[in-house]
Amino acid sequence: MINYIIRRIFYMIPTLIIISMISFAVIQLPPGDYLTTKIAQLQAQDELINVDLIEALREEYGLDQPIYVQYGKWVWNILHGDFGYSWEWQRPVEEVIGERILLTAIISFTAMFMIYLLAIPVGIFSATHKYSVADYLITIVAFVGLALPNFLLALLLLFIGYVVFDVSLVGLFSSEFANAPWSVAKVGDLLKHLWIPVIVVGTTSTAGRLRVMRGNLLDELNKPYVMAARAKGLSEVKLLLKYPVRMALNPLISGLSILLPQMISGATITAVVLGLPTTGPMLLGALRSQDVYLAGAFILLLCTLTVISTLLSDILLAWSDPRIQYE
Amino acid sequence: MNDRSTLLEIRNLDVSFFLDEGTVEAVQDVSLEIYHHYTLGIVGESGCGKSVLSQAIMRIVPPPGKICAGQIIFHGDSAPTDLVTLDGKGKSIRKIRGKEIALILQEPMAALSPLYTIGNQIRDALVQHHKLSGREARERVLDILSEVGIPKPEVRIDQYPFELSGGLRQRAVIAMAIVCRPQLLIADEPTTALDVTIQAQILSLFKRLKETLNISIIFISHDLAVISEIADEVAVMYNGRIVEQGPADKVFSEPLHPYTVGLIESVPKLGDASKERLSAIKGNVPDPFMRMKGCSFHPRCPIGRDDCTMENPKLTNVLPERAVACFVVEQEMTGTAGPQQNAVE
Repeated sequence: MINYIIRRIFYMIPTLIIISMISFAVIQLPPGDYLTTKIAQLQAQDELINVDLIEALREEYGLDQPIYVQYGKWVWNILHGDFGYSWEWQRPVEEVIGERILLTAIISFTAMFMIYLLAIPVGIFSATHKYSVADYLITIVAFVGLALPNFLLALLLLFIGYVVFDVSLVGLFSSEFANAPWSVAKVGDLLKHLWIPVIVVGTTSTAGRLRVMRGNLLDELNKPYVMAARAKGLSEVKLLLKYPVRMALNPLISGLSILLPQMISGATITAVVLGLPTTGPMLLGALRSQDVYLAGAFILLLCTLTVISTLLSDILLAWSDPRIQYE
Repeated sequence: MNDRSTLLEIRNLDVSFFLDEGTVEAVQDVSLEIYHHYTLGIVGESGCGKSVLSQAIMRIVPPPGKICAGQIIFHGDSAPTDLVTLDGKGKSIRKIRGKEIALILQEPMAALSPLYTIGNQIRDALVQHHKLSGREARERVLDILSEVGIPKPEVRIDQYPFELSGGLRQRAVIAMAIVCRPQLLIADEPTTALDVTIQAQILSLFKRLKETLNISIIFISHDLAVISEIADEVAVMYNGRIVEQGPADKVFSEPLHPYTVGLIESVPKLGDASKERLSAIKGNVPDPFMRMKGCSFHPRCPIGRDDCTMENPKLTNVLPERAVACFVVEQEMTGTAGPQQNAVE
């Protein structure tokens, strides 16, 4: 087991190198660079453009060098803890993204927690009460949840909050805390606002996983080993949890690794609609203006998160299912 | 041979499955008696209701199946109880399940969960019925593993089902059933998935367990050779009904019911030099959704008469200890049977 984990961590290194290369190249794929965007903006404002100044800036930013040199410098600096400089924000990348990564992680992990906390028990109930009124109700709600796009749900919640309760649910903080330093009161304020994005981000996945849980469990419930357990005299709840449920959980465990990137990318649209200070909108902006180091840092961090969560879910699965071999 | 005191009595049992496509009467009007220290063999082809019968005794017929009529009276440690009247999920039936009546399911691979060690799965019933501590339970599981002939039990106890061979898995499944020393063991096709040498070993294990544990066994199989090897008495099932019943040696040497005759003739005999084709019972098992009027074997029966379609023949004693459900045989043996007679009444 230990060997397996060490080997898997070792495999993460080439994966991340390849991801960093591809993402760096993809960010630069659109014609032009950050300065072209900048020039277009200035031209739109009828400002005079000094050609010498542009050349000087291009040199300063290293944009005149071939892409592999730019990539090499970028990676070299990251290895030394320097993620580069965001041209658009005029600040080092670490400073710009630090808090946003934290807030994104808080929303994503809370949502994941909620997804599994709801989907597993409700899925079990739905499967064991197949074709009952409650099962049909759950099924209907789940399908609506699956079909409803995140942004629409966000708008609906905002609308209901505004019209019915006369509160603005935009953002993650009340205005007085938005730019305040972290404090207990600010954390409390965050918790007050957190549930909206968590519901918005988590609904689709909750509904999906609920259906997966129900379907898996229905497959398992008729297996002979369940009947064998029943023939031993175990109570229904006990045998259900020990045998078929444990078996039906496996696809949900392996699904953990896909969930995290899904939630982060799904959260982008939600964050734009809800005005959340998370990574999504900022990454979108950085990609549009070709703010290379900011976009690159985001993508690299999110990919690292994905690779780590894949590893974690694999380890969890190997631990829960003895049939999985470590060789 | 045995003291002939009754352990389990099944009276006129009907089990039906209520499906969208219609109702399947899986077990119809089955009556059986199982004595202490006794082996009853139940033979029949796939889908004849053998497995449903065993599930009905345990009260674990899966929905949409239901016991519609009849009694299953168990003379266990306490006063005789009709298992049909108990709540299928209640405490009283769960005290009998696994403790007094145990079931061995058909496929040894499918009857074990791949996620737990065999020791863990065998321990379930012990912990459930005897409230043993982990250490005591482990001792008992080790004992039972060596009792069913699993070598190196202290290694095997912590292994997962997929790490064991088919024969060992079947032994583990048997251990799982007998760990609480039940009085009645129902074995549903326990040798079917095994190759012939292992089959012989498992059969002798059953014989040995019957002696050492002093238990009764209901042994279900489609394999006539296996049944004749182990059973004291045989019941032949066809389409949910018992069509013939009697001592094993008699039923196999002088079968009475045309279905039993057909079954025995369809088994190849060793040393039979003739180049004749093996005879088979013509036709197919009747459509389970179709309710047939009269004897359900009639369309395939070589000795059937027109009046066989009028009503269903009842299982009738035609010789001492031997019963058959066939108008033609009954008339031959006793001279006074046939549907007309009943129709007149």
